[in-house]
Amino acid sequence: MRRISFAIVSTLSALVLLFSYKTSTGSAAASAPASSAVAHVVSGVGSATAGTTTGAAPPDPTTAADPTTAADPATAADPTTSADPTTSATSATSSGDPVVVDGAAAQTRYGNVQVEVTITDGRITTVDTIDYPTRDRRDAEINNVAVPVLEQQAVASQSANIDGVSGATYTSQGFAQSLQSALDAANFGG
Amino acid sequence: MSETVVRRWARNRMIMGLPFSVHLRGEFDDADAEATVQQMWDELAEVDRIFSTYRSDSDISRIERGSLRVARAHPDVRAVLEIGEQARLVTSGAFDVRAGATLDPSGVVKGWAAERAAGRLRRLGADFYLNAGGDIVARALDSATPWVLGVESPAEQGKLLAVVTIEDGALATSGTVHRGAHILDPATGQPADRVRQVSVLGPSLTWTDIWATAAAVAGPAIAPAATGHEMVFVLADGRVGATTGFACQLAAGHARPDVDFTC
Repeated sequence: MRRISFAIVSTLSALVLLFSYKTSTGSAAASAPASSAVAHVVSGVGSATAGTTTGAAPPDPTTAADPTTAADPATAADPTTSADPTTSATSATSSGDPVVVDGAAAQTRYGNVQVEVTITDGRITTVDTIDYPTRDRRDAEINNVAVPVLEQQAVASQSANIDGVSGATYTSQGFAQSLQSALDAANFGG
Repeated sequence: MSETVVRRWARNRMIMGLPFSVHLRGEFDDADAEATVQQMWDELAEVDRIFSTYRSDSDISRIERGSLRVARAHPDVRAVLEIGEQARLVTSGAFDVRAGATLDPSGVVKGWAAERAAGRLRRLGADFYLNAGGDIVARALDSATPWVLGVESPAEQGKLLAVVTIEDGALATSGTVHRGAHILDPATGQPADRVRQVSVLGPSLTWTDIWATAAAVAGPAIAPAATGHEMVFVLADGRVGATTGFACQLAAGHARPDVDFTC
């Protein structure tokens, strides 16, 4: 038991450290973690999908520190936000039921990044990042506001001041029908 | 006779199986511009001859067959493979030119070749952008008039997901289904399916392109490793998320008064 919990702790710490990196202006160094880890047993759930369930208790959005103070860009975000995950879940691992453990939210330049790990039969089978868009106020803003704003912009884009378009589907056929193609035609020949 | 004019101007060409288009804006010499763009097309055609996996006589195909050693290939091959190895390391394997059964450095070549070709445009002294099959390198000389670039919506043709501005940098978009093929997850050899589309903003098209490919495989978790790059994701489940810097770009042009993006 102890060995497994030890492994979980160190793995999650390492994982959270992966998400701790240089702040930029506007990002505060992390203070208290937004949440301590939560572990719960999810039985009968395939490991491939467990990572995307929302069974984990999210950190209270109102306590997530807003990065409003400028920090020295050279300092790394404080990795000590990786509070030890609770180890109470480890008692369940021997049963073979998948266990989902949420690492503490690490406050980073990009907002809160939280890791959710699924452990099946004592092995980590899935690592998933529970992050934007819903976990704190800013991310909710991004998801709830930016997208609708963009949708408005999308409609306007047909006549707006768009100079070019980046896309992933530029086959010759797709290109012919794309906005970029229209922009090229509008400007072709000077 | 060449004359200096102020206008908008575009040229396009299909090369490497991709639509390339160049846009110029501002004051530039017409003859210089035509000559420079032609040199770009010639350079890119040469890249295709060296790197095309669809051509059996390309250096890359011959290397893969074992009939050409890297040391004896065109020096660009070594340069690209070195970048590929750096990319594999910094992306922790999410980007790998050997993700599939055969060597395929096209994830490096496209951005690298486009960036190099676009370097020629800097000498024209005008604003320019090059769209290389959906990946853009752009330069605007006046910060008051950056290029305004959209990111395609993966869901709706002709609609945009995001609009950003670039003064001097690159915007690359990767989707997990590319031209009928799939981006393979190097860890499994199977098509990556976590991300539907990701766009990356960064200083260089070579690396912006690499990060877009890596992020299409690895998902948002890779964002912290991509120092100096901003990303917007559309996940397979439809959720949209962006790094703060990308969201701030959006806010600059499109914030509503009741929303506070602290950027």
